[in-house]
Amino acid sequence: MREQHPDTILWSGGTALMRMQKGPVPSFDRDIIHLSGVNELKKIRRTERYLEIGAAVPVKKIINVGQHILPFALAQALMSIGSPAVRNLATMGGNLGIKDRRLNSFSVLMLMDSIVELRRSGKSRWIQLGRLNSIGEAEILTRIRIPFRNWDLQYFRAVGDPLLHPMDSLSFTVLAETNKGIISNLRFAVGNTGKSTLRSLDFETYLSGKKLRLSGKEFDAAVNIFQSFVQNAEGDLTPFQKDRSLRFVHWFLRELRDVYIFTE
Amino acid sequence: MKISFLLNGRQFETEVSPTERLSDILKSNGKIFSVRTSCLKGECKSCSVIIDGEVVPSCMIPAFSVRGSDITTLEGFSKTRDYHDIIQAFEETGASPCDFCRGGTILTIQSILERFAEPEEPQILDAFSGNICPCTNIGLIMDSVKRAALYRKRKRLGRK
Repeated sequence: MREQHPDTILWSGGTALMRMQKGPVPSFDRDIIHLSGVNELKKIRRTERYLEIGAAVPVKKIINVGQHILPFALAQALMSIGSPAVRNLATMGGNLGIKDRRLNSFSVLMLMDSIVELRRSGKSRWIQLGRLNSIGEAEILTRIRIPFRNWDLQYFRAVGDPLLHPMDSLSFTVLAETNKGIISNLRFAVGNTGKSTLRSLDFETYLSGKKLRLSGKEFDAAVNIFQSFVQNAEGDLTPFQKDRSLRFVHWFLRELRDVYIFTE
Repeated sequence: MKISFLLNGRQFETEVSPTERLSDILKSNGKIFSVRTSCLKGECKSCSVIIDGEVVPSCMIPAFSVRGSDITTLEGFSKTRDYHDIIQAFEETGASPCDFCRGGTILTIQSILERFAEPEEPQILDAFSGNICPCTNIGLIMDSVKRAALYRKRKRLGRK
């Protein structure tokens, strides 16, 4: 259809666009192809290895349909999107595909090694979500594939509205596996900060291999590593975001030091 | 462009421009006065309508995208029996939402009652999160939801 009408605009839900727009909807001087009616984009599929979500599936449907199979951190991230009425409209494709913003679900999905399908006329390609910087004008994001892994530790917290106030918002995501009380494969990201999602490999490497619960010494060392990471992230984080990310890290490490009890 | 959809059970056809929001055409072309626009961010719920069974903020939907949908506003819903359960519950608990948020509140309660036969507080609070109108205490709204659920249950069981 796009080949027959090359000047048309591909339009999906547009929830983020409408939220950012005061007054009338932006005027288009071209015809519009409305994608929300395409059934293929509205499907959720589950296999043994992964969960595949169509880009036009409303967030509420993902939360409801997948509440027993959705990873906890992803469910938390989706619950933090807008109000319940907005979640009836907003889609995961919209959450990931908006230009120059990385919204709530991005960092969780990136840490889970999710891949996304980008499709254009006659061609399709799958790319790692972390490499999704922008979507070409003739391309659409069609599917998100989330591999299943056994994440024993899953934390997600978010403050602010990353769409309307990216300088005053922040998300904090941690995923890790544990084996006999020892942390392995810890992944950590600070997101919702605008265009970028920050990861501290030093912090991840330090905590991987540590036995739970953390000792006081390990707690202090991890805080120091994160503090120096935040100081070096000059330009990427506002003072508010630095302060909140430090608070989040303190809270997370306190969980590992005081609360987390390994049982197997 | 011309679009048609079901509005409160009747086929409705109207001319829309691509720059119009659904809330605008409901007010101007559809003469629906329960839909009010305020925040234009989908947060205040004063423009809520039910589209294909889901409560959504009509200010966030481009009018052209609702072609073929089934839209119910407070005007349409107020002609149903379910509406009266909610109003009776309001009267008995003393909850009185203002004209600004009334439509959104009633439609949100209806969406809760459709999903849960016996709604609990976290479910009600979750559905009302984001409702920024301070006119009515959320405690009274919760009582109303539970009471309306009770009326529905009695109806189902055939009791008065």
